[in-house]
Amino acid sequence: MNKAKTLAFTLLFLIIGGALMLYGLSFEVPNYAPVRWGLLVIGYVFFGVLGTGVSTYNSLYRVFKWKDQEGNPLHKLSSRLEWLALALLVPGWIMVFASVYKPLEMTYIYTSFNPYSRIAWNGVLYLLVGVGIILSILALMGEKKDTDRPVWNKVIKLIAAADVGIILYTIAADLILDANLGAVFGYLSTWVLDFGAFVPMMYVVLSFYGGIAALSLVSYAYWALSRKDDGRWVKPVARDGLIATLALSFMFAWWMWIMMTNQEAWPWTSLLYSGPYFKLLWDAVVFAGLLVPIISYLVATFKSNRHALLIGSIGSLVGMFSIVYTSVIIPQIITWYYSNSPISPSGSTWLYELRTYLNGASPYSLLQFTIIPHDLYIFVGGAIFFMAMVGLGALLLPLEEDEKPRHWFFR
Amino acid sequence: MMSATTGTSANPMQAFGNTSPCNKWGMVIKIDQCLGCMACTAACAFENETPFWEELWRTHVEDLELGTYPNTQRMFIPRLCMQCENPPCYYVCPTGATQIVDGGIVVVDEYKCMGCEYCVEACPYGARYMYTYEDIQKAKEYYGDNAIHVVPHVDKCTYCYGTAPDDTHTPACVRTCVGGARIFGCLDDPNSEVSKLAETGQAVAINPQLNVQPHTLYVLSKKANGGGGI
Repeated sequence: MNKAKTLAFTLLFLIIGGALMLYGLSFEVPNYAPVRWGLLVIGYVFFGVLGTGVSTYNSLYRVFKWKDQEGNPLHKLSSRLEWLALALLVPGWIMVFASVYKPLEMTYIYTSFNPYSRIAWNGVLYLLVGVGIILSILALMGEKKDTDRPVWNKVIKLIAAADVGIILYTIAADLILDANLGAVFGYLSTWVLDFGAFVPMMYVVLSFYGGIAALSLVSYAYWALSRKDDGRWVKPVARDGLIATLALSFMFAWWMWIMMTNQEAWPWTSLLYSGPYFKLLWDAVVFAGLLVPIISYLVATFKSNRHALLIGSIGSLVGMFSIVYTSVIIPQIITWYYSNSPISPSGSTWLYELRTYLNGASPYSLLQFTIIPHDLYIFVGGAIFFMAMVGLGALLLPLEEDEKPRHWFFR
Repeated sequence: MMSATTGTSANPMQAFGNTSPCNKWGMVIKIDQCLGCMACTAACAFENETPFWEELWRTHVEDLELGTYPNTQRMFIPRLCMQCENPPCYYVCPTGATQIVDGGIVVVDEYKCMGCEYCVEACPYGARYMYTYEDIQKAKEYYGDNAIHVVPHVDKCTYCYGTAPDDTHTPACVRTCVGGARIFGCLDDPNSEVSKLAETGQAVAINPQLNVQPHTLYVLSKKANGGGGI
């Protein structure tokens, strides 16, 4: 794609994405929504974990192939992938801000930091991950030899000299953020315990699974638009995608089994297994998210086939969204009256059981989750804004291997 | 409105400069003495300007029907914040808006609250709700420019911290309780009625297995479980 077209599409995405998000802000957020954490929370976890996944995966190759950079199948894509990680994080950040009633008060996360709060840690970790990724991008640019330049160039050369340290720091921040995002939704006394034990671990695996899918999809799009790609990365990425999908399948199956065979967690699992969220589990997670990627990545690994990789990555992204949906929404669907007192000891003093058993009511009631327009417009706008971010990177930064610094202050 | 007469603000972080005479305020609710008149709910709504237009309250009364016809009974269970000593809402608050102040009372600094509702999700007693922009506007319609809540925040019972009379510190719901079902006092004072009820085991915590150590305790009903209490 030529520069003029890239510029036109970038501006278009910026305008549409920005306009949709602003339009979303004009909608009221209802005072009492039975399910409080909705689409924007799913959105910031989805984009956040995708971003950290791309960054971790790219960084691990850079570290392990440090002395053999030509042996790194992602070497030519490194700068572009690091930018992709940042481009994915940005809509995540926007959704974090939009998901709270008073975004400006988020500054108190930093000025009155509460170390017991997982959301407070999220605020700090998002920042640390962002700093790590930006430093990684600068380091990658600094590696491009271009010496007769002013002070700014010396600064990025200095950053490039600390490359390994920066990469290791970024990997650590990425993984801790993934686990912390899982812990936010896992460790509440009002949520069933098995979520707490599994979700942080699963989000770490999910970051590899989703990150590989995101980079495959975007790299395929680059190839489709420019045809400037030798495709050396396809086979190893497909192999790693297969491993990540198998690992996630194991984690997910283990999680489901633990919950299905647990008296306390059974009601939640039954919603997925045979209840109203049946299609979410079987169609979106198991079929689209696990089976399709396993088969597609298998084909892509043995045949070095880009198209199979593309199908696998689309399936993975559907699966990732569905798994994040499962871990955020499903625990909120059943009223907490039941969640606190599922098993009645004799002489129970639990009032909430009275409300159910003595009232002759069902042991729990299901809450309705609906996507409100405020969340929907900001989510869709954020996704379009992500594409604008990708375009901005291509326009302004030397992200390709043969590209010299030539824009803005990198000139 | 008590806040108007005492000239204080609803934001307890600014309202109450005094040192509390008690380190551990508590409330005991005698379930069998609750008549279900809802005077407590009304008094609280006026005192604290809760968004009654959304049917959200700092305290309300649950109306339960027990048994099957013809052997039925009715039971009223007043509900409010348990003022936990180990409050999950306090630990999850990312901005430090939820604080434990004098007397062990859990309050929200509405200016620091960013409205993530993590505390609402974490509260095992369902005692918190969101006071939104629309509620702020609505409150202005009802209470004029002197409305006590000025910014959106998560709201909850504070035992009328900062608005209760300085001599007794007694919350509005206790002052208006017709059947004497609510008793307020200092759990640290061995001579107080709440302390005696707690010490003798007559007043107990709800969901004690959560280990949050509530300061709001219940004298359970003798009606339920064939007279064996709940």
